[in-house]
Amino acid sequence: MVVSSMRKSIGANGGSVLKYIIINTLLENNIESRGAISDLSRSIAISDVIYTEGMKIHGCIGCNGCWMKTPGVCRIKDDYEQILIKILQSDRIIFITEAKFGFVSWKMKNLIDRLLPIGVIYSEFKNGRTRHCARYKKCADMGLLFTGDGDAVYLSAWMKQISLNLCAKSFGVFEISDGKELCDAFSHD
Amino acid sequence: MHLAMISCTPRNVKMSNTAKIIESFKTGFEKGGNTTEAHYLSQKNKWGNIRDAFNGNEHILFAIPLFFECVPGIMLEFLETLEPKEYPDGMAKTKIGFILQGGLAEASQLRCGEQYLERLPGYLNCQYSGTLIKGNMSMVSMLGDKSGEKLVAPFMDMGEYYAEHGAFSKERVSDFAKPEYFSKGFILLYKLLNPMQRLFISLLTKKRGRTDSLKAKPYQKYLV
Ligand SMILES: Cc1cc2nc3c(=O)[nH]c(=O)nc-3n(C[C@H](O)[C@H](O)[C@H](O)COP(=O)(O)O)c2cc1C
Repeated sequence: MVVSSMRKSIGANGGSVLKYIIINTLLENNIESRGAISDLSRSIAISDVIYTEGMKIHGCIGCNGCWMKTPGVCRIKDDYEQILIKILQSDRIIFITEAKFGFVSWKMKNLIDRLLPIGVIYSEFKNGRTRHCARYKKCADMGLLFTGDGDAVYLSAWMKQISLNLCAKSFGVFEISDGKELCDAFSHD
Repeated sequence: MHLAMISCTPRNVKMSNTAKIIESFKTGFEKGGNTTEAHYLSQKNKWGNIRDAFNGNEHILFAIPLFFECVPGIMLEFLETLEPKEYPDGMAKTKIGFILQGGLAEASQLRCGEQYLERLPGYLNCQYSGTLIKGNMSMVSMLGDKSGEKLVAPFMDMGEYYAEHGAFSKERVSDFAKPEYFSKGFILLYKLLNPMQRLFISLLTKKRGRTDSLKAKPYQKYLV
């Protein structure tokens, strides 16, 4: 597995630079996705683009082992572990996916469901609701771009909730052609 | 009425909380002579039969565990294999109802998922018959037969209710799933009792062969 041990890279002026990664369920040669990544690259320095097509990624089997048996470690041994480490090493994640039935595709939802090991079984009250505690000090903030049959309003509300659960921040959900809006959201932070 | 129930958890049937909820719901639903059939998406080799059940039935109930505020990936994968239904002249649209259950206790935890389900039948050219939501379900299987059964027993009444009304009403569901949020007094009590709850979880998981601290950070070494 190739994973660097650095969380933040050092900028030209010696200050730390936010580490952005893209997790993409679309094919590498998908025209919309290529356009979006090239637009994003004009505003932010992307350290990694992970194309999940062709990777071996199983869906979560709901066994709760990553909470109760081997805390923090998923029992499924596939290509997801390297993605999880990259997520933990990053400051901001941009998910890119196709949308179906107004929501994300099953491939993207499988990637999200497998985030369970970064929470712990213990819960606490936050924003008026019980939420599980974070396992690590920080989880990357996130945004999502979609192609196809997505409901941006619903997806934004959903992403806000899952970000809260992960003690992270959502920068919103936009159509893939509106990647610039996501960049604007990043830059206004 | 005949109801085709489809469990949408990836978890195996024996360990699944959804499966136990289905059992309880079914007992109530069948009381007046109604009939049911149950299918499990965790059994991927049976997806052909489950698709046939979806296409061939007028009353369908998806029973779903909440995964990250919405439905699990496996359910979306199955849905993407379905075509919107078509009906010969005069035939009523298929009715789809849902049970959505999660681990965290308040009804508000399930509202985001419920919102998705409200619109889902439309994409499949079916009619929405409501969603029964309920939190605090994650321990059903862990607690063993007796205590687990107690937790899912209220679903029996709701099975009877669904058979009678053919849908879940919002009011009845909110009453079933309450509280929407915990009161300030409860939150205070929760904070006081939290160390005891944590000790209970810690001892229970230790007894079941936990290999590390519940708060272990196995990937910390990559995060210098
Ligand atoms: C990947 C994953 C994500 C979950 N996300 C939530 C959640 O967002 N909110 C919640 O209340 N419970 C959540 N849960 C808890 C399950 O909904 C709960 O334990 C449920 O009873 C499992 O049913 P099953 O045994 O049939 O799979 C999650 C569980 C898993 C495995």
